[in-house]
Amino acid sequence: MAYEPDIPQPKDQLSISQADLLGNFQGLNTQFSVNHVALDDTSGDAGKHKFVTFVQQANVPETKADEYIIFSQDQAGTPELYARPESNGTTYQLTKGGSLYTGLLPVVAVNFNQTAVIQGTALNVASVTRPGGTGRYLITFTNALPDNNYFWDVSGFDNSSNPVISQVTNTATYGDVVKTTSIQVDFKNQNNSLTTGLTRACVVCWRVQ
Amino acid sequence: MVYKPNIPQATDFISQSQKDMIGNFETTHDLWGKPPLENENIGDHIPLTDEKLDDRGKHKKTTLIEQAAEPAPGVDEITFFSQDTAAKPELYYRRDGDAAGFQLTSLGDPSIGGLVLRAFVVFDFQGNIIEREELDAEGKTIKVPLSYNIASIVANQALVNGVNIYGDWTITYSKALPTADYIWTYRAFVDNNFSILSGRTVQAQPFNTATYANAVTANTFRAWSSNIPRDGTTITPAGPVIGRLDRMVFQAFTVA
Repeated sequence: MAYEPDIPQPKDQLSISQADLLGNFQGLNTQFSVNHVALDDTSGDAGKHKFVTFVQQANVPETKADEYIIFSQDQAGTPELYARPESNGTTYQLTKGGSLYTGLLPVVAVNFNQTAVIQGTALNVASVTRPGGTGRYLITFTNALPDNNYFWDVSGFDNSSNPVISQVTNTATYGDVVKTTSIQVDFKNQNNSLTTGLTRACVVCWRVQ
Repeated sequence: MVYKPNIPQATDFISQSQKDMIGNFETTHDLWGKPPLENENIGDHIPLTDEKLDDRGKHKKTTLIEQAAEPAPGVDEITFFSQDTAAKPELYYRRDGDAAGFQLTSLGDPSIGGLVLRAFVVFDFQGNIIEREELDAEGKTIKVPLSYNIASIVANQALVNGVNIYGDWTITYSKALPTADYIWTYRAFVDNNFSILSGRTVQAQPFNTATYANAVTANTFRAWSSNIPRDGTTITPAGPVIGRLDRMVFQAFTVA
């Protein structure tokens, strides 16, 4: 039963008003409980949100001074969250493709030790192996990236007092070592030889969102 | 008084219905939202009786009760909710067509694509955090430190003529990272005009004369820089670099 905002009227019979009032009290409780803990909840959470459903907006809502809004709009066929600062400030996108939107999306991250064992939790890494023995590591991705023009960062740590030069393997063409499915990295010592003392290494890759 | 959705009934006396209805109106008013000054934590919305008519119906805040099951969105909808993640409620969102929601926060930090930037800093050879100047809302110039979750940067070598000339630092976090197995990046820029070593490159990395656990902990990162010769020789000791490291850039990440 739809909520009736204009009841009871002075000329309504009591039986009509009773049904209207009952319908409104029931409807208010039902509709409020779509996104909120129901008004008749006795747990102490009544009135709070269970979750927030954003219905896609055709137009950007306006903001007054000292207000900030979050809303949903279509972005390439999918609803995404947007925000707008006070006084009809410039709208910006909050989410994209299942992530917060910052313009740059981490797509691979891993910390591993000398024997290629992943330390802690990795992001989108299926395996780390040593295809060329000590000092050379192949990071294979769980999910392939759309292209190999991604940003990468390679860092190493050697606890034998030697500096570690960290880089993508430079004995092949770029496309041979930086792939959509993997990246191969080298850790070298001062003499430009693959190091035998690598203790830990970190690799992070990003893509433009 | 608990809200009664099933009043008034046809058989109720008017005196009873009057009590029930005023009770419902009062409960709705209270649960919808009390004035912030009265009790900020009751109700998420601007009070129905707020003196600013334009504000009625808007939110003061949004309290999201942890959900046991993900709320599925309808067509062209997004659901925004919280769920238990490692015994903490975290924010998620799920779009029309998504098989599952995506985590947006992790232990107080934003999660971007599953990776969480837990700390970062840009600092100079004296250990000063670099600041960026920008205008505030009133047009005044303010300085914004280029750091996050950094409590201090301390030189580990003795000063020379009152100046730190060694690339050896301890970076201490304001809030400990959730694990010591985090992912870090560290880079340095050496100003050749102030370097006592020429023809050499600086390699920035964790302190490399100790075990990894001594150099990289959940609370600190000992940053070190080494000299790399360009002629195939070996420099002993390789570090710490003596020179003017004008900029150091450090970041620490964990997977959400």
